[in-house]
Amino acid sequence: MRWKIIVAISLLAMISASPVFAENGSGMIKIGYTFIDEEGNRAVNHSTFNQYEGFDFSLEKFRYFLKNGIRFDADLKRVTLNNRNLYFGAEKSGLFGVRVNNNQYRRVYDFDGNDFIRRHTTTGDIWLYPYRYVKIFGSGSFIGRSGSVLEYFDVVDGGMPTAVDYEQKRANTGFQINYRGRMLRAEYGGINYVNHEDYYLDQSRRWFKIRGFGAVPRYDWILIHGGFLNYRTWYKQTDFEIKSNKGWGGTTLNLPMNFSVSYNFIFERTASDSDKVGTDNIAHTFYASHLWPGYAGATIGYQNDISDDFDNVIKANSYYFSGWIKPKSYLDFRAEYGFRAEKVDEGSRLLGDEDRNRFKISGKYRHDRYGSIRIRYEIRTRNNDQLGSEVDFDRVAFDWVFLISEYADLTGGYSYSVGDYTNMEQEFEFRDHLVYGDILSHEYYNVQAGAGLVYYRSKRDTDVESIALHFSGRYKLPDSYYFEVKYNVNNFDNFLVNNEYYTANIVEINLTKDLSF
Amino acid sequence: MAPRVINILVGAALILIACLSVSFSEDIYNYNKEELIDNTSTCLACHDDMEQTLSASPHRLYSESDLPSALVSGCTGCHDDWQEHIEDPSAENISRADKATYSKQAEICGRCHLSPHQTAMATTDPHNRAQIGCLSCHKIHDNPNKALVIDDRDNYCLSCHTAVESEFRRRSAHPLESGNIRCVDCHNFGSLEDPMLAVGMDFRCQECHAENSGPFLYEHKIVYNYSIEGGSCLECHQPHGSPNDRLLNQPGDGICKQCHMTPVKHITQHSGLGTKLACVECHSQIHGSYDNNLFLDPNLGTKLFPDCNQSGCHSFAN
Repeated sequence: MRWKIIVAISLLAMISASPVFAENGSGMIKIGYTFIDEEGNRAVNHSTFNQYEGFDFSLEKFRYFLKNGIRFDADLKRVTLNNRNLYFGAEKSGLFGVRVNNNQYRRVYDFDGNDFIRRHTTTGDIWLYPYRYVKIFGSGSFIGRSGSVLEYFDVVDGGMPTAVDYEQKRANTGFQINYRGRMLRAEYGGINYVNHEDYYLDQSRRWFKIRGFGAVPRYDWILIHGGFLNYRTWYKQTDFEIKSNKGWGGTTLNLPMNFSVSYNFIFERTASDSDKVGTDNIAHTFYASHLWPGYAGATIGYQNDISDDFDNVIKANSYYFSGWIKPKSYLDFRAEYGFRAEKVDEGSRLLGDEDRNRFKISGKYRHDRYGSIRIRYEIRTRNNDQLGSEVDFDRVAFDWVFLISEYADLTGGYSYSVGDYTNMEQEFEFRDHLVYGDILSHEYYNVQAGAGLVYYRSKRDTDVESIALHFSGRYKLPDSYYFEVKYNVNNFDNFLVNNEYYTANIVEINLTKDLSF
Repeated sequence: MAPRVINILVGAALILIACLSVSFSEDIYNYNKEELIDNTSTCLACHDDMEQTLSASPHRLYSESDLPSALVSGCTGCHDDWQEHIEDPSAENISRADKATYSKQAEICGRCHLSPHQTAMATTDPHNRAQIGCLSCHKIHDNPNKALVIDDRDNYCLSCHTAVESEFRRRSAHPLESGNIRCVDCHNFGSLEDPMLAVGMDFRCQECHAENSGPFLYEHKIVYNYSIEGGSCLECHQPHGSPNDRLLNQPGDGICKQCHMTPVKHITQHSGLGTKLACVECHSQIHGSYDNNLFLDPNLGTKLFPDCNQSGCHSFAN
């Protein structure tokens, strides 16, 4: 079945690209073979979960334009018997469009790679303009997940595998009306979830959503928007149900002198048959911005929200400040600060009162010829005096792109993250270092070479080291053919757990052809 | 809040939507296909190279062989002030969206593209507050990419959000790097519901992880973000990537102890057996349970502690 899908999509792409109808097109076709030599725990190095030994086929960045304005796109990346990542689309702007995606990946859970789950997702979208102002659309998806997963904690050494097997089908349809700068869109959709291992989890969902946007007649500096959502989930075996009604809206005023102010609100009521009967959520936000075009901008904001479950009421106030400045065209600085204070206004809750902060600042320098450098610093905190818990994240990230125009492109970066969790009984800290870099030479005597590194080190209460290194070479043959070889080394070590180590040597050989019609 | 008030407010939102469908004529929306094609041929008399820059684009200029579509693109659909420019051709008197403010960009693109994505960008989206306009991510001329994004990598968001990219290289991560998910699978910035409001139900995780989403007879209140207790999945998991397995914020019991103290009986009874096991070994139904309000494993009495169950001292049901 899998191959049928792959072959059908490939054939469709090829046939539709027949020169008979052709105007022009481009793309890249690739046939390759991957050799894998690996040892250690297959479950620890997520970046190699979807590497498979054997032949693969790719059709990448395929674009084809017919004389009548229809466009075809395809991206079929490294298609093997086990792995798929496919996209196919055909559309004519202002008339119709069809898009199909399919992908599959696995997640490995045990040392030998015998316990894994495989998730496959197929989605499709279609839209049509029957009339200038009306768009009709529909989409659907099919998600399947099967295999066996090891429980994260289990007293039995190595964990007990649990079978997983479910399917989820989703479909929605609706229409959109655009008329003189206004939009009205309505859609109806449903989901059917079937769990073959536990039929008690079988559930259905339905939703209806309507939303609109537009400028106020004769006052086009006033934008208003609003919407309504009705959402319902119920279990097939028990009729157990959760339902939600949500209305939202707001206005943005684009004032003279590049000032703007906006107000938005959400009202939501969610009710469930569970031990928690329902909650009302209400939020109001206000923002005011000023823009110095091309030079700077600043925004301040305030949000008030209320969560009321009919026994207890939590109120929260949030404040927001942000700004950016470009003193020169090649310099860009941004900063953002947000603060949120939650207070138990009536009744009680386990979490009590809680404060959250976030702060970000970044600077970027860009040189037209030599690339760019960016540095970013951010802090996020959460404090809960009542529980005695505190979370503190700090991160410094530095990245750069060097364009050495005569020889190579060089990109790289470094990121340092600090995480501290404190509670009444214990602490957890991690310090993550991440270094990454890539160099790709320009073509020289038909040869292009590259190398790259990702080094990850997590320390303090964790002790993990991971290295991914690659070297690549590409030789240009006649008629836009290329011969490529890529050698990857992956290594993972968790020094705190004996069996969490992994090493892989992966060699990829590809024959590539650039397509041009 | 009284149910009646909620109903009134929801009704008001519906009335607001109905008002939006009322139309009034304004010059910038006076779309006339024949006039647009005619104006465009005037522009191409001087700017003939521009036609090629749009040939691989959804804004491809109309040709006689085109299938009849509801909308066609033309130079004067985006470039304002063209009448003056025709009289006195100068680079100074023709509008260019890439030189315009972000709100002007939104207005120009919005003449045709009034989708939830575009309208969110013009109103509630955080990118709007950061004054990032349409052309920060989209390039109109000389761009064959889908949706005219500047960079056709699946996750080109990362070209600005570089610090986030590093999170996907941690110990455990969602499969972004292998191309199996994309930023927009979770960050649906086509919604008019401001994600920064972050209240009420949120369906992002539920779309793929329905098995953990409930509803359950006994809810773990922190899991559902409509509840007053909480922040939903993100209270325990870091969705981009984590230094711990299963995207967890902390390993072991640390997560539980952010909110819960170890119960005294776990320490004092049976020589502290209750403290020697990880919390979720027994409370395995931690996302919610149909069986009991302590989220205990329904098979606990036979799977983990048959002696306790058979002795008759403990019943693990309910």
